[in-house]
Amino acid sequence: MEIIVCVRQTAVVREELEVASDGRSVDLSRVNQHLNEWDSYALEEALLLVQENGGSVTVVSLGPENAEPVLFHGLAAGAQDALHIVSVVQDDIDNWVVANMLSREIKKHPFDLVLTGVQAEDDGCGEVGATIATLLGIPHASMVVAVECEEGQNTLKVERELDEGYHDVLRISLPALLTIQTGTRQPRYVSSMRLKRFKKKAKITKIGFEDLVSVGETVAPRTELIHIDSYQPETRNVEILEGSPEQTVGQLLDRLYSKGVL
Amino acid sequence: MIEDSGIAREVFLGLSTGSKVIFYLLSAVAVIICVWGILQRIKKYRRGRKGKELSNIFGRTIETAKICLSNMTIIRDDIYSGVSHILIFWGFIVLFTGSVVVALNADVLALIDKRWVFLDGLFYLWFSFTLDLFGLAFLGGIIAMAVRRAFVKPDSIDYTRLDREIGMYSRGSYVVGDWVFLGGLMGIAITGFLVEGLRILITHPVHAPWSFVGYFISNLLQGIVDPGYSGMVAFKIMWWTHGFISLAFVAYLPYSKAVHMITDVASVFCKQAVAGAIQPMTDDELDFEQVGHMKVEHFTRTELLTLDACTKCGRCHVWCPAVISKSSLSPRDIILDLRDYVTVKSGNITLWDTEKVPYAEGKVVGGLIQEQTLWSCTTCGSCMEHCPVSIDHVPFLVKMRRHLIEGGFIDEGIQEALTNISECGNSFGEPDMKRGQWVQNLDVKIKDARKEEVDVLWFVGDFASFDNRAVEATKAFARVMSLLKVDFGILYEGERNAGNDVRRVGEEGLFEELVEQNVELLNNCQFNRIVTTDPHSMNVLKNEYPNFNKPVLHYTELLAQILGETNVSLEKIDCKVTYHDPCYLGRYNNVYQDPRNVLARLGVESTEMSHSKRDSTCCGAGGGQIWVSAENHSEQRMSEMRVKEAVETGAEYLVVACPKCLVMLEDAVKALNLGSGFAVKDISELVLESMLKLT
Amino acid sequence: MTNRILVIGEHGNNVIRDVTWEMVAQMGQIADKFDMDVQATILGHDCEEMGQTLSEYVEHLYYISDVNLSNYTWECYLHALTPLIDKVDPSLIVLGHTAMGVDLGPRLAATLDCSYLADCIDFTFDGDDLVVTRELFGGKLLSKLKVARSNRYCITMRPSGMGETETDKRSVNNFTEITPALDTEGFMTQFLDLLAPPEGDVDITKAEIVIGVGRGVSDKDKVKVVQTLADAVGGVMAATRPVIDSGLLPKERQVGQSGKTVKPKIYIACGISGSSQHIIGMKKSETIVAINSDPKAPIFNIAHFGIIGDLNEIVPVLTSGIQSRK
Repeated sequence: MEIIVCVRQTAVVREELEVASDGRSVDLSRVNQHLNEWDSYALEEALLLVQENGGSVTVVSLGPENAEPVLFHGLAAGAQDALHIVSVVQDDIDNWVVANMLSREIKKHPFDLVLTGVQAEDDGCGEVGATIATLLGIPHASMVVAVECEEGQNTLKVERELDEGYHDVLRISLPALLTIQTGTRQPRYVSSMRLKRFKKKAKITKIGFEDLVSVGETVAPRTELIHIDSYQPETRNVEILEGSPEQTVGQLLDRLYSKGVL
Repeated sequence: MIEDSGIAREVFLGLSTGSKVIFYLLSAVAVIICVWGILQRIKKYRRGRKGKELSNIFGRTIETAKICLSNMTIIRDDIYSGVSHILIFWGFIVLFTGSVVVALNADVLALIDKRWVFLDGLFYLWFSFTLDLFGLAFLGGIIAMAVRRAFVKPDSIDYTRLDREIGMYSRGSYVVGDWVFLGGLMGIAITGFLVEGLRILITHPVHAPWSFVGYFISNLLQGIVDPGYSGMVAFKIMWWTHGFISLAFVAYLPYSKAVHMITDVASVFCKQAVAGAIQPMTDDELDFEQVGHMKVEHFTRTELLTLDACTKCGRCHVWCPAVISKSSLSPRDIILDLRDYVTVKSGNITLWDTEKVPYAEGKVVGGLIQEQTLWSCTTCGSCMEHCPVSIDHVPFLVKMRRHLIEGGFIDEGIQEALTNISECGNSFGEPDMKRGQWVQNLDVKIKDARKEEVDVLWFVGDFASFDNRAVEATKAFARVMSLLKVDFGILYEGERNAGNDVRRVGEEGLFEELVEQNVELLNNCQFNRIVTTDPHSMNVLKNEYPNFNKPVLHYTELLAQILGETNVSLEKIDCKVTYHDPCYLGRYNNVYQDPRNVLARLGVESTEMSHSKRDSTCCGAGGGQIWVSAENHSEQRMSEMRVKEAVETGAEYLVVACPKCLVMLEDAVKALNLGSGFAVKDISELVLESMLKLT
Repeated sequence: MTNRILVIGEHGNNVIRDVTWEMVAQMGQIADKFDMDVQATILGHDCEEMGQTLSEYVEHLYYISDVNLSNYTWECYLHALTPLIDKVDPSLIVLGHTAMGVDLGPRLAATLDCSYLADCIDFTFDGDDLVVTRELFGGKLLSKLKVARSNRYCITMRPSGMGETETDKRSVNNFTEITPALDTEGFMTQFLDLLAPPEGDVDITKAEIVIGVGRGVSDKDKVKVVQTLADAVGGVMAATRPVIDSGLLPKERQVGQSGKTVKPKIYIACGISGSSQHIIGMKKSETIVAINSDPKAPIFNIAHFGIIGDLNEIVPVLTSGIQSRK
């Protein structure tokens, strides 16, 4: 199976995030970045599928020059090739551009399956996967929690997560794109030494936007970011109880009992 | 009756020249076999890679002589086997020396010039007496050991494996080997005395009573054996029997557990300055293409030697908290499995001393030795502390964990902790900016050691900075230092996990990164000494970081110093306490007295638990255990066992000196539902309480 | 661009899902403001009754009926919707940000070659431009995005979790049934099975008192401590997704978008930060108490009472407080 995995570097969401002075971006200078959690599950699924069925894994990412670490991570985890579509500051990018550029690159390679995470930790849109599938003219399945190859046929059986605890099972023909949900198979750990070794010897293929478009063609974003704010919830009706544990608990129980809740 | 040849020993009494030649030939064969066996072992060791060079050869020699000649490491934890062993040990040495002296006189000196022979006269009488005395001691020791093995059957020599079902393995050959060894020695001793007795019977020397055991035996045999012809026959038979067993023993020595006579001394000689110190990872210690597979070449020469030093005494096994809490880990079996694997791989011949364990895939790590076993170790060091021959169990374990880390499939909880440390510099996954948050709302101003010069640079540590309970103790220490007017500062968000447990979990690459980051920061600071909250940080900063040329202390050492040197008045605290020695403060760094001195100054009533100081049992946090995911913990918690022990002393407070011990033991107190009469307290909290009472 | 909004409705277990009602209500407000009209569509088989119900609340309801639509797949829905969209020509297509919305939305938008924005909390029109508000970084930050003048927009709205909202009836009896007679020959996907969640021993949706635990409850011992509280107060334990993923509690205890929705008399959230995926599953609780050591945790935005502290300290005190009042 030839599998292409789309990965993305995002800021570690636990961090204290500050809006940059221009109000239109997050100050990433003091923030750690890592491989998007959903993509790590997608990567692991790809590696395990190839381990079980033979083939190879290629990781691809669209991001600035400093987004290389996720590609080295992919190689160190076991992918055979890494492609980096390098974006520069001047490039105007939104998810549409990302999906578009990725699909142009993916089209150049033979593949059976494209995997990506359900969504990115930073923007939580969950749109790039299905968009790429549409542009490539292949079927997709989202929120996938289990993948089963069907022996001798060019199809897969996938189990997907729906709302309220329901799951469904679909048959999907290859080539296809799947977006993988977290909590599937635990992503393997890539040790520091292993990563270092791969950083030294492994090769990442670099691709620029100009390599993907014809002369004079540009892929324009469809959305424009106006500004970013820290979250100020409009209404906040909570009564915060103050004091020692005994005091706060006492106050809480007083209120609950008097309200008739308990 | 044969003529008494004077006060001397007639060697080869009654043997024809032909017999003497045969005997010398047999001796030569035995010696050659023995030497060949030693050489095959040496060849095996030489296949290993070169490790750290041995330092201070002179000091080592003295230390080795002290330890080996006194047998102190054998006696100290088990008097029965220790005393038995020292009898055997000195008995053997004296008897062996005796034989050498005899051979020297008879085969060398006598042939050069008969006047050079010194084995005669009064010297011979005392010689004879001494040999009999030590021979008796030797035999006594052996009999005591045999009784122990046959009837007492202590747990330490129960070879049942903890990681496999009975029927999936067989250690029968170990047991056979044990008895062959004991039996062989016993045979040598008994036949030796019988030879002496018979010789005395047929030669009747006047000085016979000096050889009092032989004399005793000859008297016993008086009625049974005729001193004439049949006595001579009996003597010759016994002489050849004794000779044969002895020569067989010489030949068998390097192929059996008897080799410990050599390897144990060598192992003690080669021991590390700090037991359990972990060496950096080298490219030739692990094959990246074949993770989990180990070759003889992957071990250092010293490691291969120490593997051969193991005598299956079982002390590491019975003292290991993982064994007591019924996990699948036994440090003894780690060493034996590796030893036997290396033996098979190197083609060394052994007699009843190698177990052939069937394991899948030919992998050592994850096959022969299971992953779950490797992750159960807290690196508490009890195994190494109690090993009489200085085997370093923990570094072997870490070496194998490095394979698991490289292979990528590790316990989820450990993976999460390592990822957090890699991304945020702390195992909690908190943004590093939150490290100094505990300082807010504290009425003490704490200097930023990154910007200002300080006397004491306080390396706080992850748990002491982020865990809610541990932070209380941290704040207490800060206030104590402020009241004691210590000039101190912390590194705030510049500090990163010191890396002790990262290294011991096997993530050597991440450890190196942490060292680099911390060292870079510390090099830009000005301080006179480093003080840590956590003994783990202290251990690694003091022993495994590049030398700062400044003292690295644990906070109890600092407190003991200050309280000892100054006349700070402390109000007496009226309570009964028992102190828990943290593994990395006690066993690894020998700090036992300072925390006790601090408690003494507080006027508390101190009582010791049944396992204290070097025998202290681990709280269960080390070696990454505190990170291991919920499902993978063994049922019987080490922390709960320790709390129960504390409760038994009748103390009100279990006093700790480590934030991890604090968290683990307090969780255990809660899990055991002990109510409010018993609590865990950090030393700083008690000191603060005492100081505040004055104000 | 036209002034038509098309809401793509969802149904399950023979009822229209809450999220559809929410969208209809929200679109109603937008329609009033910008002089647009709201139309909706339901796709399925044997869903006429539901279609009729919904039609009373919108300008026009299109019920697309086909046996291949008995179960949702993006492919069948897409084939059924595209002719309808051609006919209705909406300038704004709205789906809920649900499993279906995430699956169908981007596919539909890319097929129609129109702009797409997901998980919008709020939006408005600025002339012919659409301006939406979305969360970033799991709720830590808010972003405002503009989609430039276009003929068509496709968005998914975040379900507010408030369920039925008062709506004005829009129009009477504008109900159209469409039978597209889908030919699935050559389709790339095939529906095989729908799996209901496992029963489990406890039905948390029926409990009056629910104690939810989040990442702050990180091991078996801490779970035990909270269970003691649950026992003392006569409630059941539930958990957020990360806790379920780590195996501390079984799947049937999961509260949230991909788990269960609960509406108990009281919901006590212990160590729960309040991610939107979780909140949507318990927002309708009558009284919400939150215990968390982080004062900035989003859970406090929807709680009625809050205690800022370490749940390991607070929960035992709460337990003994309740026991002493019995």
